[in-house]
Amino acid sequence: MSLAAEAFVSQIAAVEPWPENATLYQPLKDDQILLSDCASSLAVQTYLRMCGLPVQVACKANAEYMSPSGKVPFVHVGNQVVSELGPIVQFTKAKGHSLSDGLDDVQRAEMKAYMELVHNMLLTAELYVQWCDDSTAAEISRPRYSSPYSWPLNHILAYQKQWDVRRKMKAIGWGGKCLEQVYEDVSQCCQALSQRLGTQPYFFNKQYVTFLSHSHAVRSLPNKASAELTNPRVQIIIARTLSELVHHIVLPARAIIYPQGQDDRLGVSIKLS
Amino acid sequence: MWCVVHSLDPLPMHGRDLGVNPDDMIEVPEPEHAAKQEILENKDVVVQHVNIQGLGRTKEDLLGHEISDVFHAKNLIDVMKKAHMARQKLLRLGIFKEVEVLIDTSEGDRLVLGAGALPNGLDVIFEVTEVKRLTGSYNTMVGNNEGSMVLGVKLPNMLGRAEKMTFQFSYGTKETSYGLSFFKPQPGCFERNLVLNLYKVTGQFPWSSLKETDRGLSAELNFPVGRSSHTVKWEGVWRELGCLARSASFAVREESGHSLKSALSHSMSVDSRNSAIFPNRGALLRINQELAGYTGGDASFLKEDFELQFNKHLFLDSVLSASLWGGMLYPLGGHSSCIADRFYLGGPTSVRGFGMYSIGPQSEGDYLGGEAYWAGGLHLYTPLPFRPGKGGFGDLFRTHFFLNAGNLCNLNYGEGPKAHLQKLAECLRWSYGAGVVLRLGNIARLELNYCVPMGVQSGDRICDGVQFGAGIRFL
Repeated sequence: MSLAAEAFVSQIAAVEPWPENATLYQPLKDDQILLSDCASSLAVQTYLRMCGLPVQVACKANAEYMSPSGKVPFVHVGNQVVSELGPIVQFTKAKGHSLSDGLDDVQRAEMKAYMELVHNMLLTAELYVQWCDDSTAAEISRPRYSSPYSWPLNHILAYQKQWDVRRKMKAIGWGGKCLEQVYEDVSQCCQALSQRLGTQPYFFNKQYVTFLSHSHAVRSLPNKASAELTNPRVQIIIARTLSELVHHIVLPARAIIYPQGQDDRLGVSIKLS
Repeated sequence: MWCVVHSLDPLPMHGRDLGVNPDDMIEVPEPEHAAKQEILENKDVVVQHVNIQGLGRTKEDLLGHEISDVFHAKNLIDVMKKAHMARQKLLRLGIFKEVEVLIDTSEGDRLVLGAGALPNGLDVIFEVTEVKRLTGSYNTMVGNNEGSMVLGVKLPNMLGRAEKMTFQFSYGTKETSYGLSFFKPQPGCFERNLVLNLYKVTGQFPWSSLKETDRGLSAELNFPVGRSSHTVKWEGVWRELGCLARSASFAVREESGHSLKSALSHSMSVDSRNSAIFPNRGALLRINQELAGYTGGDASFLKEDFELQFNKHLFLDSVLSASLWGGMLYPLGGHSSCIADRFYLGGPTSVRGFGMYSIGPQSEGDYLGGEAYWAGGLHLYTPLPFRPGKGGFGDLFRTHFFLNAGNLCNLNYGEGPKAHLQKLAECLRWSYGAGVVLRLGNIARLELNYCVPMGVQSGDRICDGVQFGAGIRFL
């Protein structure tokens, strides 16, 4: 989003209260959504829930193309459409909902740094495993991504997406990495988070949880989108290095995301941790 | 001995003197030649040889069909007419730059000089110049905030039987499009032909805030049956829809994304008009039908539409023209119809006085189109008042008075046909007015009208007053 558009959106947004029928759009939950999108969607859902803003989740096969930025998830609030976590946080802030009010400037800067770390490292690693690891791409990512489309469009779109992600990976210098190096990076990232957390229940203060890392931790546990990774090592590494995080992060996060107590998934996550 | 025909001939027979217009084909001879001509007409001749000179890559069997009629001529005038017709046919193939006709007294068999030459025998010689193997064009276009260059390559008569391959590539600052087309006529019947296309086109539809990129493949077969011409076509299109602006309505946003349409279609037209743009008489009937989804793809629907036009010549060169359009889209297999498949109505080329495609269902100012429509028009065309430039430039213009009406809506297919008709009859939009029409070539026209829209429904965008329009298909 350009600066001008952002400013415009926040101006407009400030006027109207959060409506009851706000909707979050994401790809089809069972057959289509991929790990990284699922994580981003959970991050937004968690954040909105923590802000106490009601949102309905709608699954659409064309969610990615409906989004103004081409990325999921996006929210439709009143007649505004805002995509991705950053702009959504800005948007809710303009409406007077924020989770970082209690933090001082240093903490806020630190929080931004950790969020960037999670975003740049974990999200990129997910994209790498999904699209650059040939067996995962062939067995999971491409078939899932293109499941709503008919032949031959399904193959065209899947390869187009793969090519796109690989090009981006090359641009940020991940093109030459092997899977082992990616695991190592993820492991380091998890360790950094783990150290920051120490033995506290939350990263910053009681109200503030870095929902982003929550959702990535949540998605690293078995769920429909990630359980099918052919190469389970990513899960194991994240789960192992995050084992100390799990009690603090995953369980509260689960409670926030699934307030009605969808215990089946919780059971799995505890067993793994 | 050569005898150059046009010296004794009331009809112009030398190639360069002839126009291509088929109306000129049989010219009325000038009266002072009448006596001479009678003699020529009565003189029996036999066409012994027809030669085509100047052939390079063109295969002779292709031309045999086109010139065979010349052999059936029985007298000199007939030979000239038939040779002239054959020349037209040869030019129509688009593979010759020039075709010249020479008619000579027969020399008989060339190998044995003079042998077999009949005293009333004639030889007809077509001297042709083939078009180049490859022609190209290049041009640049600059528009609103946008520039593009267009590169065109044409390979006429590629395989020697009037096949044609064309390629056009447009590279712009905003979008790239291309088209590759292969055309193959049946030897001896040019109207029966096969066309294969491969293309990518991008369209922007501001009335719907919609952008569409189509990449497609199509094969079509054109053939005449009696007086009607038919086209049977298969088309596979990968369509990518997107919002033109961030402010697009959510209804349009919901339609964004990719879809695949595989459709079989048939269209038929019978056209007895004397001109496509300003006809004086005659009628036109065109029917299109399209079945999508049967051969694969995501879109499944049945679409029917028709166009009907009657023209009647009245007093003082004025023409009364009545036309009716209608169409219906029936989604199949429980799918809802896609915004790109629905009908749109309104604007200076259909129901005048309304904004371009700005009638019917809409959401936040973006028109979503409808699954059924009809539109009718009544026009009175007259020459310009006081006939300035008569016989020349002024004939490109007409004044017209019009009355247009139409409606576009969605039908509930659970209801019966009576309810459908009622739905199409209510909320009728209509308009009347007058204006000036300019003919561009024989394919397009420009209009400047003063319109008074009536029956405006809430949500319709109107253009009350002066409206300008350009297009190739007009109600």
